[in-house]
Amino acid sequence: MSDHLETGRVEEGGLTDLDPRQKNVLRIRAMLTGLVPLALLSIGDFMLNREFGFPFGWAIGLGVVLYILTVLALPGRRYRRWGYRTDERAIRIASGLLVRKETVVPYDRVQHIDVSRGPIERVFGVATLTLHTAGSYNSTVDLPGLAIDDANRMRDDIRAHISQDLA
Amino acid sequence: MSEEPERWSRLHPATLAIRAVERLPQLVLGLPAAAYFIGDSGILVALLLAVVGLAASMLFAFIYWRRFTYWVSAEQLVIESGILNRNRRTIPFDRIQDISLEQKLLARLFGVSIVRIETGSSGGDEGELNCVSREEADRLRDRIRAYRADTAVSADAIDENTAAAPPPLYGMTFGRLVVAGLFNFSLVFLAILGGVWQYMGSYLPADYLDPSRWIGDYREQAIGLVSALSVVSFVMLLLLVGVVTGLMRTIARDFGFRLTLTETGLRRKRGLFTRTDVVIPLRRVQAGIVSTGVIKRLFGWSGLSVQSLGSDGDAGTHHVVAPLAKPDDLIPILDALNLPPPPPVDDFTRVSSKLIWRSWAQDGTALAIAVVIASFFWSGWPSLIALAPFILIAPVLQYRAHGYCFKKDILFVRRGFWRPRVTILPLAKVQSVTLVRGLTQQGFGLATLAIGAAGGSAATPLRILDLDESTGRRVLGERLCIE
Repeated sequence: MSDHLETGRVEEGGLTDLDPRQKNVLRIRAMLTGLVPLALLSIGDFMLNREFGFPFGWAIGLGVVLYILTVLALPGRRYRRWGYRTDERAIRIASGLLVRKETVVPYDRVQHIDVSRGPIERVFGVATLTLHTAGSYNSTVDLPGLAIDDANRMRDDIRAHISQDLA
Repeated sequence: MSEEPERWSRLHPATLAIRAVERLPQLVLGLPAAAYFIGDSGILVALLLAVVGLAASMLFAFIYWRRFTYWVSAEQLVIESGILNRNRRTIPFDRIQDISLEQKLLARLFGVSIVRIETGSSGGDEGELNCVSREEADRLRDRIRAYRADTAVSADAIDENTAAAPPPLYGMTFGRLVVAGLFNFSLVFLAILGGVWQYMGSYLPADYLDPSRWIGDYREQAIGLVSALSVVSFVMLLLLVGVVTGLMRTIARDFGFRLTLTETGLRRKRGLFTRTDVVIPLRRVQAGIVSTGVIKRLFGWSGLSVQSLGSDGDAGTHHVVAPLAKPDDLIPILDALNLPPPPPVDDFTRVSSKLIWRSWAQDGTALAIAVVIASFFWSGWPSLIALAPFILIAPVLQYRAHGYCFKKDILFVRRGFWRPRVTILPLAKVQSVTLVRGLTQQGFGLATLAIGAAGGSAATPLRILDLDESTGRRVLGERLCIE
């Protein structure tokens, strides 16, 4: 439990960080999703250059700078905003770079649980735990970036809580 | 499962007549188009086509009617339908959450009714009998209800015509209906008029919109007529149209409003032309919402609706159970729902007054950006500054109208200046809570609590806005999510 203290976010209740490998997942996702705006900016650059005689390359330059920023700087920050804590009754999940969210889901309100792994997550050995609640808001609550063993263990723990409550 | 073919029944034959009448308008509207394509000589041909079309669609409807059968056993409803692809659906009474009856105007003439059966598996209608006779509908519903209430299908099936019928929890006299109608000021009529105009416009002469056609040589007199007086009378006319529209809509929807308590839920009947009969199962009710209006409140009127777990198809999951009531009228309904009435305003805790500053900062920035952008494209950009007073006043009113209150295991949240409402949510129905801190809120040290409950809106959940962050965390940790 000492690793909770090392995160230095005591004011938010000592959250556990995600698996460090999740940083790579976020980075690769940023690389892929960043390609779309980069391509759009490049096309725009060509168009502006040809149709209106704008100097060639400034939009591409802007795109490349933004791309590098999103790939290098943002995934790390985004990763650091994620955190979770489980106690005996509920799970608390924090996330969000600009708009910061902390969601609390009591175990006895969980309808069912998914553990899912996309291709990138599989490469890095992490998984996403998804909790389904009956609410229309927060009907699914995701906790990505768990080591696969942790994800399975948490799923089993929460399931045990659910069946206890039903008994 | 033993089949009992002798007990298969069909829908009421009047269904076919209703179908035919329902399809007529489409044909009538299609006639001008058909005549246009065929040319002047072909009006007879067009009529003939229309008759053939109607006959074909009626034949189809007849075959469908022939092939649609259902039977009701002691514990399930079986529906077989489909012309080519036969589909057999079995709905066990155990799974039936909601049965509603609906009678449109035509259906009332024929004494038949649509029966909708919902099992709550996907939120939509899982079974629809369109239409059966009124007696059959009542029999079916009584049977299912009796089954669910674990009593025999016997004489105690309640008929509201007998003396044994329970007194209504809430009903509307005609006077109250009129009052409700007056509050439902609505300009939707103008929108309909606009739509009709757009549709009919193509049949009118092309220059009918040209004022010179109407005014012609009388221009001098016409200008004199457009005086302040005519503007005032135009506004009065608009108001009158709004009042009359609201009145008509309300009377059409809520005529004969009656709410009774049955073994499983609240039963609501209402409607002048389209008569609906809906049962809202008590155990699916998640929250109560007492709503009023800025003027309604002055007269002490409010309305009650309930938020219920997926039913009524996708038409929203809020059922109005009392459109217009005095606080005392609401108490028996809330009692039946096992919800307490809203506490007095003084019992509510206000959120942080920094809400006002946060809104000013946020909306002011948005306005400034809009003004800057508009100034490039639009010469009328200074008129945007007229929004500033609203931006200044609205947050103050919002702040004063907003608050929350915990009483035992119930959360009350009041909100809204223009349409004040109090949400009554038992903590046992709270599914999740999210503490949200947006960019501006972080600057002011504020946090919003968004509360996930079933049956509400996913986009706009119940929110307690702009608490101090520490207060928000305390409320989240100590008051919410506690059994």
